Amino acid sequence: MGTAAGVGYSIHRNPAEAGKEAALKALQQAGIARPDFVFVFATVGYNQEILIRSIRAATGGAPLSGCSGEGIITQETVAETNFAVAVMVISSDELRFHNARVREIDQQAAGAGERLATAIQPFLAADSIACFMFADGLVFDFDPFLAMFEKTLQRESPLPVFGGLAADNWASKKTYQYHDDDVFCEGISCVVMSGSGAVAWGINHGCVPVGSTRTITRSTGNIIYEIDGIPALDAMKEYFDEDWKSQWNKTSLNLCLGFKTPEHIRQGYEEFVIRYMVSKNDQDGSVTIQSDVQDGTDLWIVRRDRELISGGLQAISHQIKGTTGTRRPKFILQFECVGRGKVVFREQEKMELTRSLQDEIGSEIPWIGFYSYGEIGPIANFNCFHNFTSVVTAVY
Amino acid sequence: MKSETSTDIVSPEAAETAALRLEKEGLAQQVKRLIKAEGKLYAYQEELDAQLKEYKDLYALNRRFNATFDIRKVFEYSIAYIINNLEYERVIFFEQREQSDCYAVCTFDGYYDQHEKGAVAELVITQDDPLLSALQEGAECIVCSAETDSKVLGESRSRLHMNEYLIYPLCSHKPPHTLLAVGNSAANAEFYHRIGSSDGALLGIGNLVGLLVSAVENHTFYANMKRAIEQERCAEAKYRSIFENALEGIYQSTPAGRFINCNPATAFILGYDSPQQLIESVTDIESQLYVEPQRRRELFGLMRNGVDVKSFEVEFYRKDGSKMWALLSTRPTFDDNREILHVDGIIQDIGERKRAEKAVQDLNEELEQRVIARTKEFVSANLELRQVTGQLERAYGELKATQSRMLQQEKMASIGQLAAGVAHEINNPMGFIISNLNSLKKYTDKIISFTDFQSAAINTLLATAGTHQVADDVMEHKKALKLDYVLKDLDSLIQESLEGAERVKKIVQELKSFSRIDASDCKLADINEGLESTIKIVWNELKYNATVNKEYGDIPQTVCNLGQLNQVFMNILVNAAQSLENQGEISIRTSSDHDNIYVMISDTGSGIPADKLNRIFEPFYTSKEVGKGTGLGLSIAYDIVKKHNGEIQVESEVGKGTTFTLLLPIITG
Repeated sequence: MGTAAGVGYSIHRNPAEAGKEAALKALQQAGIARPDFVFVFATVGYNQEILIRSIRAATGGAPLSGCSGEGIITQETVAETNFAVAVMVISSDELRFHNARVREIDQQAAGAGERLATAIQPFLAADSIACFMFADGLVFDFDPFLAMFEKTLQRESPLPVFGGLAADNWASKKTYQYHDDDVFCEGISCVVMSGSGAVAWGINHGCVPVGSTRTITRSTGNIIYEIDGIPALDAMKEYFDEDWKSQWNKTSLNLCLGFKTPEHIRQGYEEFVIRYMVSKNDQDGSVTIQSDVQDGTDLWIVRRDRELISGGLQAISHQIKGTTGTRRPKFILQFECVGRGKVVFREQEKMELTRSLQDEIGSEIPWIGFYSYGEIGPIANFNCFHNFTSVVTAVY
Repeated sequence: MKSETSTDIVSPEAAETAALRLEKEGLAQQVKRLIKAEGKLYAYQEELDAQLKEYKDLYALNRRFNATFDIRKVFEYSIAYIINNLEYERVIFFEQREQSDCYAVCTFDGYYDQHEKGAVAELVITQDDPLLSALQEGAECIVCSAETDSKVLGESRSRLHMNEYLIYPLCSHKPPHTLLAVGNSAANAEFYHRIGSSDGALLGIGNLVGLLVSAVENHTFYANMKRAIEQERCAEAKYRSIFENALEGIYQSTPAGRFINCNPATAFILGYDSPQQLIESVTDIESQLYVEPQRRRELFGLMRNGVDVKSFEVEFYRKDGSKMWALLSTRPTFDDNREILHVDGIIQDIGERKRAEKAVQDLNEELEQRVIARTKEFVSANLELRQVTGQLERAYGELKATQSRMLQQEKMASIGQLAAGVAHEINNPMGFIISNLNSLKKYTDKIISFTDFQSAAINTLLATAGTHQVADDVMEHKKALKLDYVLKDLDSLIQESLEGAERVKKIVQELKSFSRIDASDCKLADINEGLESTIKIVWNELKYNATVNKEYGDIPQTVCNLGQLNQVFMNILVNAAQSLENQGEISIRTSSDHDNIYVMISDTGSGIPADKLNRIFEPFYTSKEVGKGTGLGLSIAYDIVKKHNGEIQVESEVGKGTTFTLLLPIITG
């Protein structure tokens, strides 16, 4: 049989109806009655428990993983709204999916990495292909997590990790992770994919630096207190709009921080890795990003560039097709930064960009994705965290 | 100067570096401005895109509104637009109930909890609800935001299941027929279009309401127009049907004598194949149709005087030249100069009626003759009927009397049997009681005689000497026993007992005679003689307070038990005497006819009350004091008369008197 996958979506306001509608559409597209595994991405306007319950009911209680996003992406739609759900159902006799979860990851990134590695250890096999992770985008600290995760797994070469950080449509209050019937916050939902198959992926951010080099002069973990000897916010505020204090979300989407890409991954990537400033502290003038930094690190203020973004999507397509060759992907997962959606592009523009990418890779391929608060994808065999980035993963 | 010169001397590299720095600084500032401008541009663009999208969506929605005449569809499209485009969580459309001042929920969406859904479906708001007072006062809409602390608006949050809401009237007149409520629950509001009162916040919903008001008013106008057209169509169809199918001819004609229009019945009545043929053929009504053209001039004369003519009889020529009678009803229409423009008319063919009237007249005459003959028969039959009815009434009266007598006889027979038994049982002991009392009386006489003798002897002894003590003792003892009184009273006691026993004996004899049928003593006798002898026997009862009037008729002798009849007469006469409280009269009359002898005994006594009259022949029934009557007298009389196959009747009036009438059949042997 191979692998049958299908994707359905719904923008119905009733969570029970929406979940059911999306799941049934997915099952119909896949041509199956009961899937082996289910991916779900939904926005936060819904009552999440009712939504997941209805999907579980429609998919016969198949194992399920996913998270909340700022919007959803399928072949049919790109919907950045408070009410959208996308469901991918997979039935396969060549791929195996095992899911796991960890909770309470806030301030315990390393511990979470260890616990999650321990949880998925039993599912890992020689034919394990990749790991998909959906973590809480408000509390996740990637670097210590990954370090302990990979250390605990003790693999010769790291298991490729793809995923995105759960979002809550700029509310910055609560994101959701899904694991079977369980809907939870401040955790990570994880899927190990094994079997006969492979992944091809493309990663691109499309940001450009403005101004000259700056240097972190005081930091702790993922919090930057000072840049060039002055509070971080003071160092950047000349680029901000007048209302930056009250409109931090908007401000942090327009501008973010770029760091020189580390030497070990520079070969396969762009000049800068981008970091989104999740939060600020008006008292001490600090900003928080989603990975750790060290004092003395150079940084640049960067802004999104529409042309670069557009060109970057073509690069992604080339990267994937360069890997898959003539082999048609079985399904695709896309993790797109919220800063690359409607805040940059007009609706039609965004649709056309996404459509062009899908057409390049395959307009008939089951395609599911979501707008995230951070993206995860490996570069040159190293699992990396990204912001303002698109990570497109094709399973073939 | 030197120093100035030295400072002025700048190396070309340094100058270039400074220039580059300056340029860089300038560029940096430009970049900053560009970044800020770009941010603003994004914001404006986003806003413009949103507005453009909204107007496009609104335009599409309006097209959908215009494509339907179904207001429910309009509401349905609006709900989808409000939820999906305007992004409010909940929507309710209220409609005014017919013949009511209440708004009921007509359709709604955005409620996904069954309990809330059920509650909202049942929601009713009255026109005078305080919630709507702002609308009545002319407000464009009601705004209740999350921050609103109005008590009235706050109380409706739970009714609408919306923490923040807007209510719009959907028409320009008051009170509105339709209301729209949109809003959000407290739990989900942050994900929806928040409710606020600013122009910006209300712009989207305001635009929609503008369209909805037009749609609702168009719908109302369309519905009213449709209703009016339908009514007109129905009326037209109805009147057309009446016009086409009427049996009466309906037409319009001109004073000049042409038909303008007419129905098929008009053509048919006048012998034409179709209205069209009639209209085309008849160009001068007066000369072509009227047998007497003068009649048309008379008709128009009446109409010109403003009279609506009814039942105007005329004779017409039909198409084939035959004549027919018609009845016209006409109404003229005048122009401004009071000239007749045209005439609306109804024409009825009364030929049949005319023929029928003649037939009815002939029939009436024949009928009158028949009625006279039958009346005679009826009078005769009626007389016979009356006779038969009289006979029947009499027969019925006799039957009723016979039934009454039979009932009485049956009762008397039963009582007679009872009396015979009782008499037999009492008679025997009474025999030896009376015998013993007689013997006791004889013995008592002897004892008294002896004690008298003894007393005399003792007195004699007392007169002599030597025996005083014994004699004294005897006398003393006699005195102590009150023997003189006892002996004296003993006799009266026995006498009273004998009288009592005799009375019992008499009752028993009467009972026996009441029950006995004794035909052996019947012989030819004279009733007048019997009456006379009875009067003599009871004379002592009559003579003190009664004047006896006797009026004996010449009556034949009859076979009877005169002794028993005498007892009847005696019982009646004694009762009559006892009814006379002071002085009165007792009248005795006899008479006879061919079959019967009649004996009437009347008194002027106290009379018998009506409620007691039907009981006087019952045995033991008496109105006298205890001991004065046995209650058997009249029942014995009744029994004796019945045994003679006679009748006894009584008439009485309280205070005036009583009359007994005896009817005895004449039996000659």
